[in-house]
Amino acid sequence: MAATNYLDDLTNTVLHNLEYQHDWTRLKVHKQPGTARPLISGLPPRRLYVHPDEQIELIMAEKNREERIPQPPEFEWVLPTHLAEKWTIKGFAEVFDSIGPIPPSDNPQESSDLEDEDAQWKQWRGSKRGKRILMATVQDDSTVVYYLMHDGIVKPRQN
Amino acid sequence: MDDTSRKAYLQSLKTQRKKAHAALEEEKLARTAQAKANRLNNGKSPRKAGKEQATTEAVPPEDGLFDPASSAEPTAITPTPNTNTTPRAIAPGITPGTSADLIDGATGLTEPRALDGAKPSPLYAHLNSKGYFITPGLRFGGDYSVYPGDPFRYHAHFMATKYGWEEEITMLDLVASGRLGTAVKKGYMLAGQKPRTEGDGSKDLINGGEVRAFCMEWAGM
Repeated sequence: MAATNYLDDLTNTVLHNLEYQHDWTRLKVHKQPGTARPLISGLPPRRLYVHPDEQIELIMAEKNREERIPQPPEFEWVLPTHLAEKWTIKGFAEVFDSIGPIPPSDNPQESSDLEDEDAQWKQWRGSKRGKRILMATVQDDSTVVYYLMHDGIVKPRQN
Repeated sequence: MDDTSRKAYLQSLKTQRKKAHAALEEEKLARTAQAKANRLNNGKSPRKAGKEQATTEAVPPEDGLFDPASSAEPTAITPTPNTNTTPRAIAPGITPGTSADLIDGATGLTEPRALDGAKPSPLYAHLNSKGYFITPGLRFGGDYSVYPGDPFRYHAHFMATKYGWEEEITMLDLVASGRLGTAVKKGYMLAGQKPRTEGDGSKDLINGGEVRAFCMEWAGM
């Protein structure tokens, strides 16, 4: 009982941080029976992650079309953790195995409207994108740090 | 100083030098003769030889040992092993190609021994099989620096750390490494090998199952 309370409190801390500090919307907690830990999904105010190869494709496409391609935010998975926890490679693998590339949406046509065109840059979006989670780490003073974690070998952004 | 007196002075210098040479030569001959006599006496009465040596051996002993003329002859005369000329193995003027002779009983150790258990780690093998170039990664706080190509041409893409499948990872390590990796424009990769199960023989890399790798970047929020 105490363990579930702890996870609920942790999830609530991250949920509130996302909602009120980072202006995320449409937040939802997913409790899957297979995994002990609840996951959060939500929509950030801005696009959170652009794969470096997508960036290259976008620049090329924008040059050809002579107009900007919109980069709407995408739904993201969030994994709440606490700094005092100890994770294992096995634990991360189980989390990734339990999720799909994009969180299940209430409004499915939203994610499918991207897939009408066969443009190169679209393979980095929607259900074609690689699995990634936003790892939220909470400290006792309720500071939350966010790290993107990709499944597999994904090259870093050119920042 | 006029010309004649100068010549006379130079002449006197020359004669002086000749005399000095002659004296040195004489002394040297006398010394070698003495050394020969010493060696001949050595086998019979070591006490006397030692005494004589003490008187004559103001000259360092190398003089006798490394002068081929004086050291080769006496051994030919006396077949008994000579204790004074010890380092027979180190022939004068020959630089040994190996230091093995200098160590007692080292002859069997010249072949390099195979190191035990020096297998590449599963992560190394995994990255290597995908064509990445790997160098040691201590400078960025990981196990490996992973390059997408020749390290002379590319910057490293990742700093990678290997973990056991169920090895506990401190969250602070992830936060610190993730942030450091982002600060140096790299991804932080953590990876571990799944233990082999009965079904997945095909995924065998090095005595185990598939390697799971995760890449971390600071989310910027």
